[in-house]
Amino acid sequence: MPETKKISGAFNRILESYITVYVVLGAIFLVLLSPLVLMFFTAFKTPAETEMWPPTIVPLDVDFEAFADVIFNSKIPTAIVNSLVISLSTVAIVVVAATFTAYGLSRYKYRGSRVLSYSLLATRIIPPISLTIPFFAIFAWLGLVNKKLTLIILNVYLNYPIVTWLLIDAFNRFPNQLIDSARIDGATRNQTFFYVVLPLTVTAIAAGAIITFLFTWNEFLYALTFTQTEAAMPLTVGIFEFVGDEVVEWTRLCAVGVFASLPSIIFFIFAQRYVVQGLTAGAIKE
Amino acid sequence: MKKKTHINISDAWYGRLLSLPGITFVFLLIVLPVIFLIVLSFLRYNFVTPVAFVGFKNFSNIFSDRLLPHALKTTAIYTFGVTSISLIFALTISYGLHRLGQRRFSTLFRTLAILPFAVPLVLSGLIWRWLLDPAIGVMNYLFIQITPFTEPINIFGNSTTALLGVILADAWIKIPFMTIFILAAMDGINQNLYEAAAIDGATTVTKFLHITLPLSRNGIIYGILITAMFSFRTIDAIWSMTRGGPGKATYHIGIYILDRMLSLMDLGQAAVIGIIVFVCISCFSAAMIAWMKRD
Repeated sequence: MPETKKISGAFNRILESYITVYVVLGAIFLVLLSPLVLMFFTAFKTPAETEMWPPTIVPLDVDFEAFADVIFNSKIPTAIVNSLVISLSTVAIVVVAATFTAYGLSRYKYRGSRVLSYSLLATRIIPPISLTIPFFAIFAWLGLVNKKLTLIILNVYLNYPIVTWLLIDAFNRFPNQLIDSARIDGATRNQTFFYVVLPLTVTAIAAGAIITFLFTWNEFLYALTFTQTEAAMPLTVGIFEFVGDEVVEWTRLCAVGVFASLPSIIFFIFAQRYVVQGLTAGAIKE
Repeated sequence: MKKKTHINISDAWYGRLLSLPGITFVFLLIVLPVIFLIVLSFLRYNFVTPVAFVGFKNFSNIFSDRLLPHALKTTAIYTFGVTSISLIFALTISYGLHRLGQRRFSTLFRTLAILPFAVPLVLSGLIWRWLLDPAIGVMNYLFIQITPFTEPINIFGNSTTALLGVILADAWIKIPFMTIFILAAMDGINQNLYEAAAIDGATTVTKFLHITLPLSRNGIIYGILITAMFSFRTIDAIWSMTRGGPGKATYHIGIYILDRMLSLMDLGQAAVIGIIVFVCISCFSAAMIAWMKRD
């Protein structure tokens, strides 16, 4: 049937064309990114403008009051500092511990090291929400509720296995000849590790550090369960300062949203490769 | 060069020395709570009355609670909704970006594709609550303009649509998340295969069905696994949108746990629900990994 053949040929040409790809992707991104853009714009609106119908998209007058109010007049700066302290401490602990662990498991195999590597990966199946309950009992008993230390410990638990797994993979792919020749030249095992292996696996370590930072910065469940006051409250919980039972202060909320999304956006733009490498680490070998 | 320090231990002991301290610490941090979770489920543990062993009383209480089947059903719909919406979009986006390869704007597009993932999930819930608001929401305004409806929809005021609202907010974050996994798998496909197929006269659809899909299969399954696992166990979006309401329309199993734990302070019953979540996720993961391994 030539008629259908012609139609299917045209259809195929449309599918084949790169213009179609650009159009489809462009349309999806328009929908996908509009909430982000609206959040950004709304942070610069006046509270009255957010109540208008029809809603505005671009602010009628650019107003910095929401930002000023959030910075000088709320608990948000404390929450940002808390988030930074918790995230950076977690990153430091996880990166150092995971590097040593992964190198030991990858390079100097011993009986059971393979099983240990895989069981680290298997811990990811354990749902953190189930462990909230025993953690709650344990930390209440230890008097460690409402402390930044608690959140650091819990975020280390959440991130250490995946980062170790990522680094095991990086060390496994490290060429053995380089290590052997360093050893033959008289370098000790420690020197080989610090001066030969580490400098060349620094991208994987950076990937681990970045995903740990992002996961910790965005973590909500444990933050909600284990903080009650601003002393330990990170940004993901602090944001609820502007959410009342009836009224939500949208301009301020959006201003906080800009702060909350900023670290990730910066990483996505300037270090996207590392983010992707970090996230897909567990997927490579199953 | 620094002074050489000779530690006369074997390579295997060197490996143990490097790895065991961290592993021990983390296993204590994981294994002890898992054991304690099981112990808790047999205890009356409520910070008021003294701790006591109650046998299977917590289990019988939870299993006879009408909220359990409801929470499981809600969670299943939620997980399925979030995963399938994200899968459709993530597949389309990944395939588009894969087709573009190194062409113009591909770097920009790749960044744009993952940008929503920058927003903390809990914040995404709040943003969507605002976009869908009946009185001031932009999405509602657009909805009235585009569709024949003339009245804004109060999506969270209605128990049938509320679940759809929370699914949207979560899927918005999961689309870029899943795209990362699927795109990584598609990027591993050798471009020569497409050229060879084109010479043989394969259409775009055939190439997609017979080259792209089968060769990125494991990345896709992994994306499904991890997205479903996360939506089964995370409550961020629901907490910031509805906290389980209206009524119990969005009563995710995570909210059920937090209710028992933080509002009722009944850790024994909460532990039983925690075990149920644990079992569900383990079974699901095992099934998905088996599917991935099957060739």
